Amino acid sequence: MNSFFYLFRTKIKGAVRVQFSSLGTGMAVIFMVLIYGVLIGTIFMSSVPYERETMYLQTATAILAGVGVTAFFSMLSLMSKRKALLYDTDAFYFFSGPYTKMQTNLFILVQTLKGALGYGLIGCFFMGLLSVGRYFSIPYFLLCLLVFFLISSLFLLMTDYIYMWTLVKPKVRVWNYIAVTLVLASAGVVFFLSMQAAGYDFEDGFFRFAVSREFYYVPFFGWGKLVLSAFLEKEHIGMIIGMALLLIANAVFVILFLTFPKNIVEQAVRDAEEVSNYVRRVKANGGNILSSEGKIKQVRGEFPEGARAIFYKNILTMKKTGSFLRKQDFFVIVVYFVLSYVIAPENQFYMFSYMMILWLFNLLNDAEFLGELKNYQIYLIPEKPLKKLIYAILPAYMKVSILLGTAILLVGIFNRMPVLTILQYLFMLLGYGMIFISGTVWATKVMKTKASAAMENLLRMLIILLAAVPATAAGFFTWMLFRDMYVFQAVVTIVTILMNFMVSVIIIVACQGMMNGREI
Amino acid sequence: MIEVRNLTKFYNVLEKPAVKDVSLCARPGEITILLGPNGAGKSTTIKSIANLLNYEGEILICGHDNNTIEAKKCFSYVPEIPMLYDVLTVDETIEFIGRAYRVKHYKEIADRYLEAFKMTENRKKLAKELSKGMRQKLSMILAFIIQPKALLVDEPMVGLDPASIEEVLEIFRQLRAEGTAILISTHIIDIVNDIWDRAYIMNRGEIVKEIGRKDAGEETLKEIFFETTKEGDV
Repeated sequence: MNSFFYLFRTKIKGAVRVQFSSLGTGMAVIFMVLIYGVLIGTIFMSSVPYERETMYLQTATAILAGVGVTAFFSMLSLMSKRKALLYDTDAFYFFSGPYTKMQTNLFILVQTLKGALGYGLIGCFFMGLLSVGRYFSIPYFLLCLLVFFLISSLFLLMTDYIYMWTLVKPKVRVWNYIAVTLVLASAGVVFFLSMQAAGYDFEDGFFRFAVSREFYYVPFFGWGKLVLSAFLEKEHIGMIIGMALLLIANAVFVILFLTFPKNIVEQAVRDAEEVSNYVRRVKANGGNILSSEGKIKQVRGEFPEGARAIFYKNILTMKKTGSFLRKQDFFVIVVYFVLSYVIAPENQFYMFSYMMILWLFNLLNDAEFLGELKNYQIYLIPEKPLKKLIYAILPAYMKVSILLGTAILLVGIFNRMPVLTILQYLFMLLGYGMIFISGTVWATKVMKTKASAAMENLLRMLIILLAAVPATAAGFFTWMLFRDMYVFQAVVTIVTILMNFMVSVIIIVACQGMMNGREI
Repeated sequence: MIEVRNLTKFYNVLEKPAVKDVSLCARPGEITILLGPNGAGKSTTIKSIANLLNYEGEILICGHDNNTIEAKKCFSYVPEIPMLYDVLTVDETIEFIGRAYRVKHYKEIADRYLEAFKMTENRKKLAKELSKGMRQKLSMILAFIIQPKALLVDEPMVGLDPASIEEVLEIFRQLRAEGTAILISTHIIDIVNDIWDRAYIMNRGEIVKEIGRKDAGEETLKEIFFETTKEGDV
């Protein structure tokens, strides 16, 4: 057992060491920790005592959001087609090493619980974000973490257990779908009943769904919500019942998992190798699924001469992989649309517009999106570097512009916004699109092939700050001259939009040398 | 012609240079070998010549600084690990490079090499579907279709079967006969023993010996290498 603990300790030490392997990555980590630390600190500091009359609906919505995020990850693990019990060197040592089945299963169990803790934290993070300025004390946070952890661990254990049986009997795979269908169907029934009670008014129905006691009957997730709601209402019996149900369900799966009777080593090793390779490729792509992993469409493309060939190649790649409009892009935009409606029904257009900045952040963290910048082939092409750089980033910017433009236009029309407001926000977002792309270009130049998502985000924020300086100065002078809030706002808005474009262009022009290769 | 003068490369300024004060010359119509044990600095030298690294010193290709478009027009580079576009087919990859480099008859040239490498049946395959050896061959074809005056090759035989190695050596001989300056970095001496004209032996980032084939006499490249490096990492 000592070797297990040694392995754990060494792996954690190694993970920390990698984060601080260079000054740049170390600073980026500290910066991110500080940002999240301040954010979390703010959430706790802004917590106010719970008052049922004024906070009932908001806290119920926040709980539902936390449960929803946990459910999302849990379902995702159940539905995932690529599964393995262990990865990389762990798989090699544990399946081939001198360990008993119980020892190996124990190791897997601890890894699973570690993963569940991560999902639990994500659930808490979302819940905390929806609780800013309301009740979110440290004991409440700890309880939320425990509940989300228990829900996640339950699903991860269930995933592993079903997976182990599929190695013996492949037909057992259907259990994954049955479990997901059961949970979704029971949540769907509660939602339908809430909508019916609200006379099919979506907003009212949603809020009824958020506070309904019937939700407690939804397996696992309902029990978690019961614990948290009962804690707020000081209903100790409810808390005990909910917690007991979660603990018993977990205990059942732990026992089933640890006492699994069949020998599945051969297939488990094969899957471990396959999934490890897949995970390695995804990691190399900044944590995003490679579009080339999916089905490749048969599309014929032609290439013009010179640097323009780079643009046509990227467009052809997008057509083949369907990465111009991926399912996940569409899905995230729809989720943001729904979320913005729930969070700010009166100001949905503005909320949605700001959420699209988050979408941009996520989209551009996809290393594949501008991966062209790191392929040596492009540096060797005997063309002017600025031309090569523009043609390399143009398809990405076209994608951003078309998706943003369509989404903002549709949400603007849905909210009956004035044309000028739609255009203002559209240009603002297109400017941010430029900034984010130029941030990636700059990060690639500065960090070379070691550019990481964290570093790129850091540089993007720096560029946003740089672009904000002239707008602030212009706003200051306008205020001094006119003392008019309307003029002040108009000037700041216009200058910000212009500066976003200008600063981005300056950065792109300044970074053109990287396309010659010497700086990479 | 490839001329390298006083090339020094630091990956980390606090550590020793990966390559120190390296000067070499690969002449037209000659096969020049950059030989050395693992970690000697061969790949760093090749990458610096291809202008993929920052360095100190001067590198000229066909008389032009390697950072210029003129230099890029006259050399091609075969890396140790091919970086291909996974979702492009073999034909599309060839067309992309041929058109991007504005090569007039790239299709005819590519056909010749595809035939030589027995890859004609794989033309419609995606790069990601190719085996390791096939990827290496495609990477070479991309370098050859440019019809370079200078060719940089980093560990060219990794992943190739014996028949393909023979084919590659034959192509190198042809290119040499056509007047191409070829610089090959390798640590597998046996493979280049028959084709080399000039060799630079590197060790710990420095060139420790330069020798022409005519000056070697009866000595094989392997013997010269072991005498020079006194190491067995080959």
